[in-house]
Amino acid sequence: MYEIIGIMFVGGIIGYVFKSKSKFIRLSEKIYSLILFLLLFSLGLSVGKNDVAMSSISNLGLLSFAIAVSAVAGSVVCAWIVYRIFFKNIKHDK
Amino acid sequence: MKNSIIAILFFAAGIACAKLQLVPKIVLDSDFTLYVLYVQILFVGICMGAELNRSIALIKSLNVRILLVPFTTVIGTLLGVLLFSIFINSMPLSDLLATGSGFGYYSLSSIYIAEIRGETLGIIALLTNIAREIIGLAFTPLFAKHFGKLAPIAAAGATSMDTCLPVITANVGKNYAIISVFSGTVVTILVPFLITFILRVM
Repeated sequence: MYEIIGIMFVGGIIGYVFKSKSKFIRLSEKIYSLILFLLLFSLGLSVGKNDVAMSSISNLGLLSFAIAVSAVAGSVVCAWIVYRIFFKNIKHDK
Repeated sequence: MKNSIIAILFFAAGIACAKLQLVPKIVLDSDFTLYVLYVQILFVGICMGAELNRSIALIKSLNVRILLVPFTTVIGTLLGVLLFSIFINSMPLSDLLATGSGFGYYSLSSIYIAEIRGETLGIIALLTNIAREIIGLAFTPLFAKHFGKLAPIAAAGATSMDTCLPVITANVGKNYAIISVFSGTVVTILVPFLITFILRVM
């Protein structure tokens, strides 16, 4: 975790220092989205070489979907309550 | 939607290449994924750093209430998964909560969880969080209509700052775009902390 937070922080400093170099920032955004695909490809690689993971992959789809639905349902209900109590009557809410 | 499908295709291509041994063994045996993740995190940081001044100005101009939004997203997600765990015996609660704590940020959460708990939970995290992003994209109009303007932001989790931002602002109004970006940013930063806490401490 410390590596991830540390690297994010270093990136933040670089981004802050070079924020006026719009070409650099736009390039960073592009690299970011390209790396995402490389990342998924390499995640596929590590799953593909793992036989235990491979044999269970077909069973995991439904479970994963159910976890996602419960996570979304929980946050939507909580957001609904918070919205009704704290946000509904604010002026900027046109 | 299109990006989520491309994401799944790249993941599948990776599996196929490993199975068919199209990739040199050195790449397969190294921590290649982790290093790529580090590079990506660096660029996430750069993009956040470049926006820092604007972000601070926005937070200052807004009510303290804005802090409630990412908090609601996290608590709601964990409560939803906690409820779901009652019906599931095959997985420990901590694994379920860690999976939910990706908040749609599937690249970071899946690789990170795979590092700590192994590839199987990594796959679950990947599929769960891709599903969350797709649900966020597809059901935003419904959530906005029936559950208030914060619901799509909470549902999108970490993706409310990027992938889901256009569809959210289209459905709840431009004035909520700031809240959406703010919430997504805070949730994104929280992902590694929460996953570590849940998997290592709980």
